[in-house]
Amino acid sequence: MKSKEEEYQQLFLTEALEISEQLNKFFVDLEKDHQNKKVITNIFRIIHTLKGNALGMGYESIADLAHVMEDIFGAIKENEVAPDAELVDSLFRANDKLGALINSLNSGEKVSYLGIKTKLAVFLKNAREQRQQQKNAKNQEHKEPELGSEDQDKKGDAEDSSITFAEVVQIPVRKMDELLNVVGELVIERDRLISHFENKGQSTLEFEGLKRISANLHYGIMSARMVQMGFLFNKFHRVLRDAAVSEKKDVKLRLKGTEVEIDRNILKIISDSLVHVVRNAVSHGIESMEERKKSKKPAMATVTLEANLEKDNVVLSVSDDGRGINSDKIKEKIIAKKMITESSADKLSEQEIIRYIFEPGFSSAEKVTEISGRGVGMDIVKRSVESIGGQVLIDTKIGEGSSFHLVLPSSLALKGSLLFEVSSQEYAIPLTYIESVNYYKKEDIHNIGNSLMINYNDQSVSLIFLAYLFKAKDIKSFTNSRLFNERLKSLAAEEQISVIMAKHSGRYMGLVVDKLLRQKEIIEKKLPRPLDSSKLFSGSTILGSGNVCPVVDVAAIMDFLYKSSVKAQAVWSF
Amino acid sequence: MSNTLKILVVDDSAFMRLLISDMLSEDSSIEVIGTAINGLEAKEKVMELHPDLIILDLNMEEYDGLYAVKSIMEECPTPILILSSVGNTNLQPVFEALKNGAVDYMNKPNRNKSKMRDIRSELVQKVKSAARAKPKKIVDQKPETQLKVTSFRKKSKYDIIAIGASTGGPTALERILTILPSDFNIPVIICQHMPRAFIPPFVQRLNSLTKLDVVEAVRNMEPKPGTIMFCPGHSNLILKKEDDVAKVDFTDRVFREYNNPSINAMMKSIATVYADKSVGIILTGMGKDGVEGMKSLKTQGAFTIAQNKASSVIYGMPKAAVESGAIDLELDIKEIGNYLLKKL
Repeated sequence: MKSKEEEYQQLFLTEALEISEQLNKFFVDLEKDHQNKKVITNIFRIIHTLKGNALGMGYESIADLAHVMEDIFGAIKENEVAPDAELVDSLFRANDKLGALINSLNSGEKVSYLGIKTKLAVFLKNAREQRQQQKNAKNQEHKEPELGSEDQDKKGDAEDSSITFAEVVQIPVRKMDELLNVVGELVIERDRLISHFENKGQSTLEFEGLKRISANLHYGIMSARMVQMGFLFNKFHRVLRDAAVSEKKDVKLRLKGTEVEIDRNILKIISDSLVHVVRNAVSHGIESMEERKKSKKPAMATVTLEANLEKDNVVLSVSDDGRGINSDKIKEKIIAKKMITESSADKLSEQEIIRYIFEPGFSSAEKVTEISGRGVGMDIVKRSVESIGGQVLIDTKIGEGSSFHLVLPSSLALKGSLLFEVSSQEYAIPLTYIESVNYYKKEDIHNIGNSLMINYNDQSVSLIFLAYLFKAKDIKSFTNSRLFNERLKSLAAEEQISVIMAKHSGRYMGLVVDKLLRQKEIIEKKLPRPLDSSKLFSGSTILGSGNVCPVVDVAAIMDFLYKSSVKAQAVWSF
Repeated sequence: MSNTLKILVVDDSAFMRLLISDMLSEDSSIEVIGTAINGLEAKEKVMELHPDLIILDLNMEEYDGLYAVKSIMEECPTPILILSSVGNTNLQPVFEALKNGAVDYMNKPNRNKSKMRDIRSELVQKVKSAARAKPKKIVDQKPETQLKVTSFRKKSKYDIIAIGASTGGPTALERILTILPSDFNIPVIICQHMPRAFIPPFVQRLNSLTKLDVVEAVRNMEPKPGTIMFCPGHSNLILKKEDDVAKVDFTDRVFREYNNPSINAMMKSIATVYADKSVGIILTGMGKDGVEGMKSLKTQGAFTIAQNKASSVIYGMPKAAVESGAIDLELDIKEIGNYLLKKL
């Protein structure tokens, strides 16, 4: 004998499938005749019935989706929304999901419907808002979901069949951070034990298993904090659309690499920057419609958002097929704005000139536009990206377009680093900045102007003696010091110095260290006091020995030295 | 006749008919004697089976629930309990059904939100109380007086009218409020037992039907002439006096007779704040909520009115209030509006 519950379920199923079939038929009728009141009333009625029944069974997801569809038809009945071809198309897909949800009661399969549900809900919201604002704006793009898309459907959500638990649990970020902290402590403790045994001259082979397991645990927690780029990228349909509308340009968005994963906290920090770069691409990068026509480009411009994994980094690229960045124009501008003297500017490469767009107070737009000329400049973008150890690079070709690459660490917590020693203190430098590690002899080093240079890949690169930099009271005493020369003089002919070739924002810098130690994955934490006032370090980590090891902030050092040298040049040339 | 309640279940979904029938059959004093799938069949079955109560879905093909209410009340008046699922974009059909003589309404069961046992006991309780109603043909729908804007000029000696209502209340309230003219100068505050989600659309409906402003009360709102305040369903409304001005406040205290919104909570606070400057009215409804409140009002010297037995859909709350000695005057529903207008 069937149980009561089975009987309910069977009856529910039969009716629900019948309703889903009827809906398909009614939608076809509606597609042919958008005004057919009788069809609209019938659809509203049967969806309402399905919703009520689903609630009666406790099938929340079916009720949920039916509810949104019911709302849509409520609005159609009240003439708030017109069932145009696109809406009917979405409704067909919603009904497919509905059918799949109903069938999943038997099959136990997972069906996700949040994408289409969000799409319909957002459509309804926008349609109502638009209707209130203006009746003329018949834009097709208003259906873009704001907070998600059907891509989300891949992730899976709560299921229906009698006793099941959701396959996905939600965890507050705070708890994940706590877990990561604990596992960080575990790794430090592990390293401490290992170094303890090493110091006693004992074998540490016994620890291999522990090493592997704790590393796996570490990576597991890290990857649980990762989200797919699509999560952020999908919000840009709307951002781009709004920018394009206000600039009166035709722009389409292309997304690539939506499946690339990145630390959620990084997304949070750089999302505003990304919005700014995309808006910039639309308002400054892409030409006006007439201009595009003249240069025989397709009227519809393209902005591409792309994510790629490169080594330890995630590179987010915003590319446009616009006019490219004209370094001559920027040069004029920065000279006019007295950001640099003409003679100094003449010495700079095109890349170096272009990088001036990241300087505070620079705005390259000829007219201040509503969306991208407002105070927040590229300097803020650069700063926020660098605050998490990333960098911004530019590729541009006049007439063909520009790409802004935001090079970001894939995780905020764990950094592949090189440990080195200066004045008997251990330091770490993130691998992301390191081009190579080299050894140089006295004969390789040239004294040019005020600084020591070496040749690296046919470029002259300044050598920075970190020992002096870390000791310097201020920038002046460092750059003016004759210490470099003295150090050079004291160098024996056969003696080698260890140089970490660091690269940041397209520039090289040779960091001279006393001793290279080893490569290590570190967990970067805030600097303890009183070190936290130092601008040269981004944070610190604790080594197995228990020693605090500061992490060198290459971006800050580069900025610090470069700016002072430009200033020095500027003063000099007066 | 036996003591069992004979029920007709009307819904176009076989699943829902089965679910509702099964839920009711668990109570031995209830018997489902038939089902119908649309309004027309419902009317025919009523004529044939003479049930004690009809449980009616509104949303059906062709002959819908509203058709059923109208034709049944016309040809064979029988208590009707409307069953509707919340979250509809439009609740007006529910109020239309009530206006046309349906006794009460409740949400369709949602097994995800609450325990099956709770849903069942709510349904059974609603069925039992609604079945006690004595519905009649609704003939006298028109207001008794024409709305004369000039008819109400003199300053009344009362500063507030408080009304409490439960089952049958929506229609009763409509009949009182539609009589009041736009210059009616005593503030009115109403506590109607109703699911929380139903209150905003009901307020909206009353606002469109009356000449006065009908609003859902919010914290710190002051009772004003020309405005009818409605207790929301999220907690219990009370009035408090601050710097000599009466203002709306809410209390989380639980009131046993009926909670969120409680008539007793509202009336007792009014007895304290307004004393003999207030009028208390208790309308149709199941249970005893409002009796304690009306007693407090009476003790403080307020004027108290109860809806009479003949015009009450459920003569429960008014009866208890009369029996407790808290009532100055009993009136038919069609007289209450006029009384407020002319005698106060």
